[in-house]
Amino acid sequence: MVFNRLIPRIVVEWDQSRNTFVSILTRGFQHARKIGDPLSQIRILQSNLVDEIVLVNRTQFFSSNFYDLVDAVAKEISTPLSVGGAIDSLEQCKNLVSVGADKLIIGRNGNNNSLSKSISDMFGSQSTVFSFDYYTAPDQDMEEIATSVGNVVKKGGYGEVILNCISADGGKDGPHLELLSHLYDKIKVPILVGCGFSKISYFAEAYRQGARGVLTSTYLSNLDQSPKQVRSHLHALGVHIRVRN
Amino acid sequence: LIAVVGTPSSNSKAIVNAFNQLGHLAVVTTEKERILNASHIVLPGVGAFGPTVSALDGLGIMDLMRNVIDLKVPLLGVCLGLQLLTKGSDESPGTDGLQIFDSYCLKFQKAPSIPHVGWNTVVVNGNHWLFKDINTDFAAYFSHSYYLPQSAEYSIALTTHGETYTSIYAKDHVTGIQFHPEKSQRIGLKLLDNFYRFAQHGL
Repeated sequence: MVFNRLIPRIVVEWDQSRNTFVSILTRGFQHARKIGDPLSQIRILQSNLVDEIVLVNRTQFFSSNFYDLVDAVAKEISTPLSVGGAIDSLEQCKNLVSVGADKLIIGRNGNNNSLSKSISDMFGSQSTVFSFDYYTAPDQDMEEIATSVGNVVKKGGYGEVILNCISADGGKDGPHLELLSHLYDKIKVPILVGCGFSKISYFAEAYRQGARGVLTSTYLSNLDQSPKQVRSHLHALGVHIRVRN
Repeated sequence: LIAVVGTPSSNSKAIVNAFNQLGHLAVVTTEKERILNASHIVLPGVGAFGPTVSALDGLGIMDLMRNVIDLKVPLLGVCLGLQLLTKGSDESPGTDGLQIFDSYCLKFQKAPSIPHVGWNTVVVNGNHWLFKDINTDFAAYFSHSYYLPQSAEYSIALTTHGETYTSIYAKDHVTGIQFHPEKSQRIGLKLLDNFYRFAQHGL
């Protein structure tokens, strides 16, 4: 197998909840905790070398303040910006790209092949991301879930996939990496993992298992750990990571 | 004024934002007059080779770009914009590029992941005004599935993703960058600033 020189990403993900400003949803996505002014947070994160910013609304049609935020962020930063969530039309994607989205994240409508193919045909597979949210349960067949996620990625024309294990979110027991390991050999597109990254060692383990990026909200948004600090810890652990810009 | 050609579904706006952050005035345009009168021209692009060429052809911009070359106006292609400067691409066989660069775009075969999306290392190859005050290697943000092979003469930076290929190609006053400088934070903006300052007369 060819060594992948792509540098693993540290990604910040924020959710928009109930039309208010972008908030952090923790503990099984049940509790929203507001962050401060998202734009000023993003400025701080960029200066601390965050690799990518993800803004999503999982539940509803995008309100104008979602577009306004994407527009404001895109004007001020030079960091890759991925947006989406409850995307259900090509029209929404055109609007999001026109205000500065670099990548489009399709969440709950991700299984809709004709939607994702139309987005992928227009904006390229490299800009079309499938976000898969799931819960863990006893006696789950991860191999079967991985096969179905892999098929969605291939048939949907996706260029990247994000795995969010809601059961692991906000927990202190670490992320759920089993689906990653089952999916890894099935698809060629980069896989990113979110939820439950509350320790540096969890980042290192996810990267070791082939994750091309880790998404976190709470861990970095509280600003008690900056992406720069996480980077230097990971670098010290021998992880291939971006340490300067 | 920097004219950023308004290619369909592209990163034009992000490039304008980046120049504006640097304090250099840039606009997205498909108007021929504005492009012809610009101090610098940027050809951006995200998406597929063939449909983008057709769209630009429909606007008369492919012909315009061929004429612009003789005017010696500094020209920068970014991502698909770089690929449009070549003879063509595996992505759309039979569709001619602008043929400014004597090179042809290939699809990644040996790459460990496709598309090549994310931060990767750019290794500078020799001296060039584009790299003033920039380290000999740095990380930049990539997002593509096709690449330009190495050219002994014109590759001024290389990147490895399965293959070692051209991440920056430069010939006279025309420069092509495969990654996204507008999304590569400080170092990316520095490259755009150097293009703005030195592409006309060098250092």
